[in-house]
Amino acid sequence: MIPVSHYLAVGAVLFTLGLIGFLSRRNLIVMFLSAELMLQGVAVNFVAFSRYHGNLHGQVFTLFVIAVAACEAGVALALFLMLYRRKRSLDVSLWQALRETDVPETVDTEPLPPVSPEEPLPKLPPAGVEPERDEERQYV
Amino acid sequence: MLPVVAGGLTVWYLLPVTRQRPRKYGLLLGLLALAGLAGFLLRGFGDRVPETVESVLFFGFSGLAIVFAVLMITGRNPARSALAFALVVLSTCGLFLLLAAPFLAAATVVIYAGAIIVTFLFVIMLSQQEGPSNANLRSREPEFATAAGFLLLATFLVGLQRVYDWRSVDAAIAHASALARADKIDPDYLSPRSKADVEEMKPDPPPLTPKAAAFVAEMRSALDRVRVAAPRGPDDRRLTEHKTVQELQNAIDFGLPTAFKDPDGDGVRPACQTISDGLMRLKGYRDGTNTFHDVTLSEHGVVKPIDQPVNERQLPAANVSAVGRTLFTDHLLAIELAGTLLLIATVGAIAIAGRREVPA
Amino acid sequence: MFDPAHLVLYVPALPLFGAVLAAICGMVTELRRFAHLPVLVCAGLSCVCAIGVAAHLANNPSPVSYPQLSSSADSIHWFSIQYEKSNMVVEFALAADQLAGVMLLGVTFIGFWIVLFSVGYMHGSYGYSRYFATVSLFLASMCLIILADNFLLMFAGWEGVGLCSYLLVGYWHHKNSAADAARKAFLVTRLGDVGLILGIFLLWWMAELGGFGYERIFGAAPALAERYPTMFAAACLLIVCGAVGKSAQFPLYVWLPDAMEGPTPVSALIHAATMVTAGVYLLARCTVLFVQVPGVQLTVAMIGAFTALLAAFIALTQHDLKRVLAYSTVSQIGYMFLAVGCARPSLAAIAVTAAIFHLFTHAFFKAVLFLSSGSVMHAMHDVIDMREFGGLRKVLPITHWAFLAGALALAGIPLFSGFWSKDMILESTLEAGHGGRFGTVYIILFVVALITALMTAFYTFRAYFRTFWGELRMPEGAHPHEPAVMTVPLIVLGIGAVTVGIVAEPFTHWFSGFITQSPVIVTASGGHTADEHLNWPLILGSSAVAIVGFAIAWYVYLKKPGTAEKFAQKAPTLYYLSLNKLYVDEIYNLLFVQPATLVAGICGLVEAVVDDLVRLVATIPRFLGVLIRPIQNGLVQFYALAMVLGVAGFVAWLVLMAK
Repeated sequence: MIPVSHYLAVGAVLFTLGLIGFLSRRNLIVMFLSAELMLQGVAVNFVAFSRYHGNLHGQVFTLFVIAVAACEAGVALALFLMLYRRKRSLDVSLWQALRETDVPETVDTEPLPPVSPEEPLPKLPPAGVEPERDEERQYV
Repeated sequence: MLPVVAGGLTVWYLLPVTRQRPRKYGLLLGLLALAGLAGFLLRGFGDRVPETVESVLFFGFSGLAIVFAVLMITGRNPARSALAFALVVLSTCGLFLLLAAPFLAAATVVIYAGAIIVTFLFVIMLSQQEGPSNANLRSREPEFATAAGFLLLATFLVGLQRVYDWRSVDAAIAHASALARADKIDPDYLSPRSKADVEEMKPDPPPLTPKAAAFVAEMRSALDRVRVAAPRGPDDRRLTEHKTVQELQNAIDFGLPTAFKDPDGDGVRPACQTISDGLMRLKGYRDGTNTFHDVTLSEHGVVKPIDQPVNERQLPAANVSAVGRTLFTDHLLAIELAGTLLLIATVGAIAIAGRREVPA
Repeated sequence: MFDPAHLVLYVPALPLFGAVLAAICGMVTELRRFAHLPVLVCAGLSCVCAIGVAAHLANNPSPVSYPQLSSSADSIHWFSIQYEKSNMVVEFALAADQLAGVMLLGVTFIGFWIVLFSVGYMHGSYGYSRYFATVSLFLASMCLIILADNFLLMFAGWEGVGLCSYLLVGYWHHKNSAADAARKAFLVTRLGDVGLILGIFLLWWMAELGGFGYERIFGAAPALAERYPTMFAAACLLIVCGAVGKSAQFPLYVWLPDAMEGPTPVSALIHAATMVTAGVYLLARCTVLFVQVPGVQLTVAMIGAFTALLAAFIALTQHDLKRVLAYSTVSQIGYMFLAVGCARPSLAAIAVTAAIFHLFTHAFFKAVLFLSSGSVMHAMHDVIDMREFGGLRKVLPITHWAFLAGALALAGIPLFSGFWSKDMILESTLEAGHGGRFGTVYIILFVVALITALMTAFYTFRAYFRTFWGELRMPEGAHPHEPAVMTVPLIVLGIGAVTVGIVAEPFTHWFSGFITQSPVIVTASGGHTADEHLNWPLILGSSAVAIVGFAIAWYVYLKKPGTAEKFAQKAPTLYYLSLNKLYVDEIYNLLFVQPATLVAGICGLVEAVVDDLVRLVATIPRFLGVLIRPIQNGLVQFYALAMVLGVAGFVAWLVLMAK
């Protein structure tokens, strides 16, 4: 059977990925999802230990982890909604007023890539009306 | 180190930045990283390729989980990230199934991928009224974040390796058995006394040869590894193991050096045999291949038999009822508190997010 | 209440009370214009009390002391220090003997008229109450010096007059020159004061640490002089040092000419009549000590004569009228020192009498000279340079006559007061030259004194002719007027300058008869009595000298008005030496002021270094703060990153360091 170390390694990788996502993404939703990912990694660890110690304490603890994660999700999402109402955006970098007074505000300096203009969807005329013809084009 | 480095590069590369990076390079790097991780798992802990089906399932589920996790944290669209998270949850539930926790698997899928993800999607929908924000296109300190994360991962993996790596112990056992079975002791190990010393009755014995000293040191480190690998609590002294450890300690500290200093080398073989047997037994205790039909000392010094056969180490098949029983007998207080917490969180969420007058 | 003992107390107490009242007037804005009233009244009353004391002493020769001691328990205790062997007790005790009585008369009388003059002179200037309060405090301190019964109390008064002199010379403190002059006066006299206090303590130590009272120390003087010859001489020299500082003798005279920056009544009071004479008074009172050490006496006489010559030489060419008078003061006090330095047991009476008599008359005529120059300055709108005006006798008649009276007295023209007192000094010098160890030196000093008399007459009348004769010239803005409040003191003091001398001494011997009853002089004389006779050759000789000086001045400045310039061109070195005060100030600057400034600069550098070091240490936390502050930039993910880095480092350390 697969030794416990393998499961622990997988759990560690998941945890790390969640950590990186939490630290680097600016969207509040994705940040929170990364936190949940960290919790998943930890859950894998717990269940692996439960399997290899032969008792169910790990699984019980995982159950609690899930319960607490659910609470946390609820409250966090409510908070995100409030924050969104304030600043009309889910960017966590907008909330930096709690800094030292002479530290300048961190703003984005890299220019955004030019957004290719979306091709407008073709607009259909109402049913039963002949569309306008373009004189030059050849309609096959 | 390879998986760590490769993984780090992958994630860093894939994290959203304003410049458009072609994703195919990230894909290649990611495949490389996964392969490295698989290799680490297969080889890094010694040659322990387990049974086929289980390992296929394990590697499959783990790989999927990791891939979807990377997709989640590097996706530019938050809705897609949420979906990727759901898939991660599904993969880990697969792992849970492999670990004999079917109830947990089901519960996780229902709660996470069901309720929580749907809530997330609702929130995303409500917050997209301004259109897609450009915050999704940027990352905060991708280099540092990736570096910190993978540094942590490296330490985790190194720690795991140190704890669970039996290769050095295996080598020590092999070495000791070889010496025990040898017909003739290699004279490099022996440090004979010259005739002159015997006649002069010098009290100090001559020092060990370098090879002998290295051998003794190897045995000693192997014993430390085996002994320390699974630290035990104070109220769980298993007499047999304790005795084994004591025997090994004596053999290594006194038996071997004395044997090596003897010009004939007679005591070397028995000592090595003892050592190799003892190490194998301890290793067996550690990784579960050995059984303990044994007694143990409780903290008051009362000898009592060990009731759970450790070699079985199997969880009950009726998982749900077992979980329920454990939950409501051993962890009653915790579950009540968890319930209260859920209630308060619900109330709190509603209170926070309720519509209120925005101050002018 | 009015018995002599209490009168003795009132003499210094009334001006002190007046000072307090004037200060209170100063604090209340409406009363500031009347600040002169309490001072005037108290000065007058003090004068009356002084007259009372003197009258009492004339009838009962024994000294009056306050408090009247029936037993030692009644004494007013000032402070005491007790340590191993001795118990030093300093009491507040005043004693008036004839010497003190005479001084008191002079000080309070002249003080009163000068205060009256100041009312007109200082009319309308700012800090009016401050002026009067300080003048009154000065009078109180001066009376304390005169009346004190022990050395420490006298020293307290000594310091008091120094303080008031500083305050009054620097009265117009916003003027840099005045502030500098005040500081210079204080510091230079300070040098003398250090010597004085050292001398006092040496005397106290020699006298078995028992107290500072005059009687005690003077009584023990002959025994002490035998037991500790060198130390006694050193103590007397140190006391001379103090007197030299306060009385502006060489080498500590440089503050007096600069002290003319103060208002003219201040110059009249302090630097002509009272403070500078405190040194002479001290030497006179300590005659008992000095007669034991003839060498120190010779030193005093030499200092006096040398200073007299030096100051007269400088006064020959000064253009500032007040400067001329200042140097003249220095010169005349040199005469007094010369007289005091002639005191030998056989000569003590006449020498000390000569000195005090000259002090008395000098107070009158110098005061009148200063006050009339003040009147001139007031009329000429604060211009006192003689080159700017001339022929003022036509517009300032009363001032003119007052100045003439004072000038005649100063020059030693026969029959005026200065003549008699100067004559007494010359006579005592001559007598001292006749016997004793240093006879020839005294003869030389006598010749010096004669030459100085000639020069005195010359520069006095030079000033007189240049100011009041010749064509009438006045600087712009001058409005010659003589208010009554200024003329009355002038008239009174002028009459005094003329008459005091001839009335008090040469034919009636009231003065010497009075003074020589003073126990100090009696003790010092040791039983010798002075044979008083008029030395006719000397009288004729000194009159001739004075008249010759007058004639030269008349010739040079009136008859042929270009003579002075021609002479100056013929002897330019002498002229410029005299004009530039013999460069003494510059020499002092080089010798003392520059090194002190250098040391102060170095200390300032060291202090700046230390300050900078301390400030550097103080800036380190701020610097660290500036370094660390940007960590808190408000971004949640940055904080999380920092935490993760820390945790990662810690875990890595644990994993790598563990076995």
